[in-house]
Amino acid sequence: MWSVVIALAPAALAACWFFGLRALMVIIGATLACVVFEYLLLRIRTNHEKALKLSIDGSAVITGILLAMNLPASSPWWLVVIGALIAMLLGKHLFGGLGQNIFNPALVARVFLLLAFPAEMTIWTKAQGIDKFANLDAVTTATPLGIIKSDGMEAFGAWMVESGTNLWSMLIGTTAGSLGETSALLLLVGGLFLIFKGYIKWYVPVSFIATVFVLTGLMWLIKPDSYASPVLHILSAGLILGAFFMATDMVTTPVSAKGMVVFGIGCGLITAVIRLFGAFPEGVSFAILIMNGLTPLIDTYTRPKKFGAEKVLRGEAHA
Amino acid sequence: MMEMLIPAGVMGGLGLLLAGALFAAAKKFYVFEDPRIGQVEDLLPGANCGGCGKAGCKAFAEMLVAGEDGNCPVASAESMEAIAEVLGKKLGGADPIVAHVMCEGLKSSANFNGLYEGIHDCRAAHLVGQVDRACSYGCIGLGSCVEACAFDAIEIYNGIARVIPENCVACNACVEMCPRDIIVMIPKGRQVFIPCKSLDAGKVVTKVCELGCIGCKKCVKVCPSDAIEFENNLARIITEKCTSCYECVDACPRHIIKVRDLSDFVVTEKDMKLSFDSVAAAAWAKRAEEKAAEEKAKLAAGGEDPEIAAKRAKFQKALDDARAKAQGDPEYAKKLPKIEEGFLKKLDALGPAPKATDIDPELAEKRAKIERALADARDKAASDPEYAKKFPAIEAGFKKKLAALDPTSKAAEHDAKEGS
Amino acid sequence: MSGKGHTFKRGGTHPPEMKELCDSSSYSILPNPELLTIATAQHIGAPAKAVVKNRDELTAGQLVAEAGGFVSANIHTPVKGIVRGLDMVHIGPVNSPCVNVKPADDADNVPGYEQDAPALDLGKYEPKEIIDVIKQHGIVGMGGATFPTHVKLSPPPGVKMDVLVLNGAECEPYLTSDDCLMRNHPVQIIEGTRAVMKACGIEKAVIGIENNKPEAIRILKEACAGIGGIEIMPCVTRYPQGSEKHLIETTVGRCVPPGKLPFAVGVVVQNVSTVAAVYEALQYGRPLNRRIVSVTGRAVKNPQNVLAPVGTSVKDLLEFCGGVKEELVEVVMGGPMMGRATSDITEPTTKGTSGILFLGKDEVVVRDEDPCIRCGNCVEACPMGLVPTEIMGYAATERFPEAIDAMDCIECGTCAYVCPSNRRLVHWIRLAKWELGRIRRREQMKQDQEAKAAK
Repeated sequence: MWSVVIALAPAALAACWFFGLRALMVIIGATLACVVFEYLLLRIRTNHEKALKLSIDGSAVITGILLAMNLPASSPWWLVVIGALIAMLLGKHLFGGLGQNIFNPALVARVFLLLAFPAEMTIWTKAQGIDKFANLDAVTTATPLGIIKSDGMEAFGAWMVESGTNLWSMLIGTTAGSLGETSALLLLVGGLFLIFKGYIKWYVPVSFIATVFVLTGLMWLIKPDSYASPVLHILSAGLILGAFFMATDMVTTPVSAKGMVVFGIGCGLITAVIRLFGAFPEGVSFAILIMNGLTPLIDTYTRPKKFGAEKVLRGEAHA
Repeated sequence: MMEMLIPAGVMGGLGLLLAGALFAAAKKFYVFEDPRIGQVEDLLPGANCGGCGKAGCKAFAEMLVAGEDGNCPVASAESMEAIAEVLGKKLGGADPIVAHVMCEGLKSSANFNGLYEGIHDCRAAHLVGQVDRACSYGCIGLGSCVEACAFDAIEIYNGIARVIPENCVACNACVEMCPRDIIVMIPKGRQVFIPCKSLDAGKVVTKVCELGCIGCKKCVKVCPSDAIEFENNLARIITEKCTSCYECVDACPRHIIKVRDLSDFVVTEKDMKLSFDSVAAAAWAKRAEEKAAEEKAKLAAGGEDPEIAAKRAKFQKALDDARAKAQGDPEYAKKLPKIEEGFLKKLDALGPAPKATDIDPELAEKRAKIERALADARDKAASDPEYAKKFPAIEAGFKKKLAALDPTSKAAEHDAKEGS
Repeated sequence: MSGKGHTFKRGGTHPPEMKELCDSSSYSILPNPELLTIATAQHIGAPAKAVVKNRDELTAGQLVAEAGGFVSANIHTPVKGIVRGLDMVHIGPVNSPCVNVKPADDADNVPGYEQDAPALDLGKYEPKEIIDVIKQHGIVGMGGATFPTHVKLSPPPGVKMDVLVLNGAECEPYLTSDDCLMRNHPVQIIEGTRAVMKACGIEKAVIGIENNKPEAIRILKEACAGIGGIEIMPCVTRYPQGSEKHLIETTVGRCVPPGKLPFAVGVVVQNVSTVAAVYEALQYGRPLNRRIVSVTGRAVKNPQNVLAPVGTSVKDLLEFCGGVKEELVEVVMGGPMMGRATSDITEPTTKGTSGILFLGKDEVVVRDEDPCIRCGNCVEACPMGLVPTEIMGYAATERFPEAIDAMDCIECGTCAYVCPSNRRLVHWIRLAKWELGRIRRREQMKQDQEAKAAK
């Protein structure tokens, strides 16, 4: 599990670089809060030694970092703490702890915060560099997808020029957004590292991103003035983060390769629909959570075929 | 005004309509239930344990009211009587039973080797084989029975499972769970039993557990009621036939036969070494006293020192056995003269045998009768070769009967320290 | 996966081979130990029944226990000796009656296999006679399953087998006993193959050998060069290549349906050591009472292949191989994937013991189970297309009837090997299998009781 932390490190550090020390505080705060809550919640079920050992096995740390990556740099401390509590309690331990949760804990927390504190969750600070300690006099701005959703493509074009945002900046990470939504490049590097080391499987990220690409590309081809290009979609708002780090969370996703592909396609479909036609500019979190809920169903219908069997059987009685 | 009346009227009318519908439905779809079912159900313990074989107390009550016979192992005798009253008939009941774990090889008295790293479940461990206990038949101690018990009536103590009888409702869950079939149901009240399930030969058992049955069969031999069955190196007492004479408890060289009242007994370190529970021990101590007094009287009337008499009987028996063996085995017959010499020397060393004067005339008559029969048999064997073949066994039988009459031969087995 | 060749499609893994520890270019013959413990329940089916008594004197190869039923096998003493008691012995979870044989002081050791062995004159045998010889000489599957060979070669009426597959895969790490036999005594294997082909009326045989045994492949290819019908097929080194069903898929491309046996697709599979034993029986009249055992692992001083009589204790083999070298953590009968750990080194070898591992602390990972994180490694790895984590989930929550898929598990251990949480997957699945059996037996008993009561 610590390898996932290593994979996230470049992007996290980049976020600190772009958004200032405030970002670092959010990351550290979220991680610490998650670990502490994990320990306390484990203590209800087991003794001190076991709780301590389990709380530092890395899973709480990952949830903490991922939660931080889902928050804006200007998050107040209480937002971070509430998020950590929701993630650990509602997202994980109420289901039975490690291996038993249905929904991705970091996303549960993010969506909860988004719906409960929409204002705080959508203040995006401009990427100004680490020397600028963002004490919230910092310039706030909007995210690319946010502008597209609220003002349309034409206004977006103008905004891009005005704010200095372009595809390259989105790749590198100097665009506004939550901590993890910006440097697509570094997140990609981390994700590929995990795949090549065998810690995650490639089925979900590839099918997720490909589906988004195809569907947004389709709409863009049909009406290029109303919809953003698929490349923009790939590079923006946490698709890479979601596809490589959240939709690959093994506990909440199907177990078979076929199932993972179905899962990825489903996520991509819902993300694209929300982004293109829905009220929210961002659809990744909702998409993943909905698909998490469908995972048991997907597992049932994507069982591997038994050796020598003619078709897939669902636990049919053996002679 | 109308604004109040119309809604009130509508709501009231609706209410009346629905009430009428409910009333009609209640009448039309009414199911008659015998009121006795409810009464019986109230008298039952309500544990829904399934010990009666039915799916819960309500189902059992229905069965009883329908006329079938049944027994609730959990209910007290008073409850069953009350139920019998409600039903107006007698109920046949079985004796209340309780579970007991037939292995008392605690960590302190049995050998453990190996470190088990598998699943923490007795069934899974049994699949692996010996686990960490050196005895392949003993309690694994991982607690699957504890998991199975819904009544907190069994726990793990020092490496074995032990039953807490006051909580046990005899639902059989632990019996079915145990992969080695170590847990059995025993009637409540004082019982004599052998808590061991090892089918290993004696020489293996002595290496692995202080409390294992070595299959020496001494208990089988002394039991007057034929209540001990022996199969595959393991003795087992048949509860229905046991008369609680406690001869086997005395006879067992390892002191593993136990007398306990299982209604309230829980295995502890101290108890495992003791054969008797406190009440039985008192009874046994009294009997032992009476027997000792008898012996003393006989001794005073001119008998022999019991220790010497015991030795004498032992040597004599060994000598007789050797002679009998020589009859059948020519190889052995060659060695016989030397063996005989050895034993006769030992017998002489004990001193002269006491006179065969019996204190008891009845005993004397019995003895004379047997000795006559023995002499007759000897004569017959001298003339009839067929009979001669059977003679050693017949002679041994008579000698055994004679020895049984001799009051001093049993004295050595007396172990009054069993008390308390 | 490693190397070129054919292989099976689904699942599998490639653990470190560890073959170099135990040299397969030659083997030693074990001098007779003090005592041989010959178990009578050392094969699948009914235990054999002892036909000797205490203190009987035996000649080498004499029958000590005869088959106890149709699916059973004869058992013979490996050497001349005297019976020292009929006893019980614990072989893992099996409590088997046994015959203790003390080798005579002047008894020869078990004979090695012949170099330059002669070809068999199969013309003098009818197929049924060959099967009868196999039956009389107590030959059982030596790959580890110990299924009585004469039963395997006598399928139900109406079944026709057209391919004989020889299992020279030896996919378990550490073990090299089959490789040793293939390299040193190819004639016995080829001739034994011919005999089995004649016995079953089969015209085509394929010997599957993993490609990490290039010498064996080369030597066997040479040995069967002039003989029609026998083909050597190198296979990819992948576990479990030596699994019966997967070897059939690899060599002849047929998949045995779930719950069925190989004869359902017209195939019969035999281990190479087993057919060599068939040759020994036909050519020299030797019963199956000795075999090559790989004594290996980092904790034994001199790991080597040893030709040992059946009934040799683990302790005797350990001593012959120099004793323990470093801290011994685990003793395993068989290979590391499917073998069984034992805590009793007086345990005897059987006809199916292909190796004994003495593993040191660098070779054994002792870690508690962590919760299952549903990573899907086990699903990807299972060569039978099962979902091990699901079966484990049902077993762990006492929902055994729903764990019915456990009955299709071949217990290869691939799932447990790839599990990042160190779950004892095979153990859970075996528990499910056992409980399913128990539930079925209880149902049967209840039905029998009800039937009796009804009468």
